[in-house]
Amino acid sequence: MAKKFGRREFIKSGAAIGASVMVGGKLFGKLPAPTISTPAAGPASVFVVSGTDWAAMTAKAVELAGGIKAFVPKGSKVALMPNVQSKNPGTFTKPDILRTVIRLCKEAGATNIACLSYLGQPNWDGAGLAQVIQEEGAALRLIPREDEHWKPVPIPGAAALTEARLMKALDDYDLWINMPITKDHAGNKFTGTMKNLMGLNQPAVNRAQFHKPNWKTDPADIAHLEKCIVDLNFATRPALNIVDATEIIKTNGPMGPGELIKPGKIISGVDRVAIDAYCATILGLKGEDVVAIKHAYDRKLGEIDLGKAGVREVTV
Amino acid sequence: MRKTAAGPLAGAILAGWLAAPASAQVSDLAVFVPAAAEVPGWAVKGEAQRFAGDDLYIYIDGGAEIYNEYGFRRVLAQDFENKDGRGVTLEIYEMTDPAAAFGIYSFQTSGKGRPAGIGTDGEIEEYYLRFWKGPYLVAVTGFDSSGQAKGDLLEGVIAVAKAAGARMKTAGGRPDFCAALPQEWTGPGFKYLRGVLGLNNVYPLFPTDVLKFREAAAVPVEHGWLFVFGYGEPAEAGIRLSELREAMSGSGTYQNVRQTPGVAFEAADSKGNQLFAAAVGNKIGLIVSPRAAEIAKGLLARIR
Repeated sequence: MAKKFGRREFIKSGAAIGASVMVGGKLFGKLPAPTISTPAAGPASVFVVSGTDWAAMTAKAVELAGGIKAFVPKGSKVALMPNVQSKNPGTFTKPDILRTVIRLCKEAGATNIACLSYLGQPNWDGAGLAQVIQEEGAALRLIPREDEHWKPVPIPGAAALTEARLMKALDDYDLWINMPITKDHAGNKFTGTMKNLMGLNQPAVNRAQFHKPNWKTDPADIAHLEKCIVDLNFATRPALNIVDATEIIKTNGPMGPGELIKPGKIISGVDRVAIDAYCATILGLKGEDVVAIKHAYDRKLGEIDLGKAGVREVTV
Repeated sequence: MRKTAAGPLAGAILAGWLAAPASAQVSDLAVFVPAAAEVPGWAVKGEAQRFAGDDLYIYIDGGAEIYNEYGFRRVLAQDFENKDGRGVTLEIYEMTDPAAAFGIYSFQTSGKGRPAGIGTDGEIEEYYLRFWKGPYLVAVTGFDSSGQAKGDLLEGVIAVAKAAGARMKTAGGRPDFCAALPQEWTGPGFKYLRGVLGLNNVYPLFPTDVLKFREAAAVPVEHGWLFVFGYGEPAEAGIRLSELREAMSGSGTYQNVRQTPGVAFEAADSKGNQLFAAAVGNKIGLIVSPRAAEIAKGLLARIR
């Protein structure tokens, strides 16, 4: 049974609470009123599918989260945000996952599907994602780094990042789907749904604000970086998160090469904090171990307690 | 389009290489890129990518800070391809000095690889080979759809790494700080640290630089780590130890923080580890392990 995405879920998923709805401006205003299905097995906000067929796992993960039509209304324009860090194994979202999501969006009636990125064509070619995008008839929009392609988005109540600078191109879409790969990160030991939003923010700002001026290592950088990540998550929110945890690096992230582990999982859901708290466990961490996850929970972006969030796991 | 390093470019590179004095900074990292004749069956594919200073951020989006913490100058990345279209990538990072190169190498290396006999401390892991030599960190990757380097790919990884290493006429050993530690501590899994990012990747002590160390070592011990933090003077080590104890007492992250006989204290974290810290001359020794209190005395006595 499907139900409207009500106020309680809206707050639970940390959907930036009123202020961000206003500051998100056009983008937030254009978001459809998403719906989610009540899972048959009881309340859950983190959906985990294990297996070896990544396409089938992706489809199942989306189904468990409520089905693609709950997130992608007919006729909508959809932006996708896979991770294309490098071509090293375990550092980028798998092509099969992207292919499946594009097909699902089409099935739901999306009229325009595009991947947005400020990284270059070699990243997309090396990861094999450019080929998938072409084969599936979607678009790849590489956004230049210059100021005119980015728009300021104030973040009231920010702990560190008072203004995001999001891609203007995002305004061309009704919603966006977050598709990170969870993996090790040398800066903060973990990357997942929340950190992937840095891919929507102007790289010059990421460099100057998240990592401090001239990005020289600062004693407070780790905490500062984590606060900035959380702040950014109040500037925009994905309609859905689909996380690749099939094969990931557990050392030398985010670019690798590093030690490859094969959890064989795909995780979906709306609550970024809960999903990241779950993904942290794959890397041997607890949500509380990752400053950004703890900070995001403290700021009511989502639920850190997986018992409260509810995790539904299936194997296909 | 496939390219080979033969021709005028190769000639220029070779001339530059021959002209470069041993251990001097080379004008272009391309002098270390093997020519086709040095890697039979493999040829350079495309142009090399080059990034220097702050532009490392463009190459390693979101992951450049750890290189900077150790001391980064520039990087060159060059793809190679064989007749079957299979690829190998060579990356050469020039760090500020040999200690920085060893540091980032130790940070990135799991200690689970097998010796490659290439460069300094060269190790082969699942799909890559990594070594350091002088101020250079070299990584060569090659993998198939299963994420492994096998057959011709493995041969290509080894050949490219060996040829690049042979071109590096440079010297430089591990930092003095590491040389002062017992040799058996500096084997597989050992890490040389230069800042809080590296430290927090081994053990998330605090997200801020409470210890303010200049350099440190992380030594794998039974179910945990021994950290040795270096300072200029013994007095500074004592001050930093006191500050660490105070930070732990007030953090809420650590429990049972209490002074022990001598210039030392112990605590516990939420993961079932004991922590035992003591000042030893101009160093601080910190053991993090479920058996820290039990093994601390023997380990600390060996810090010089």
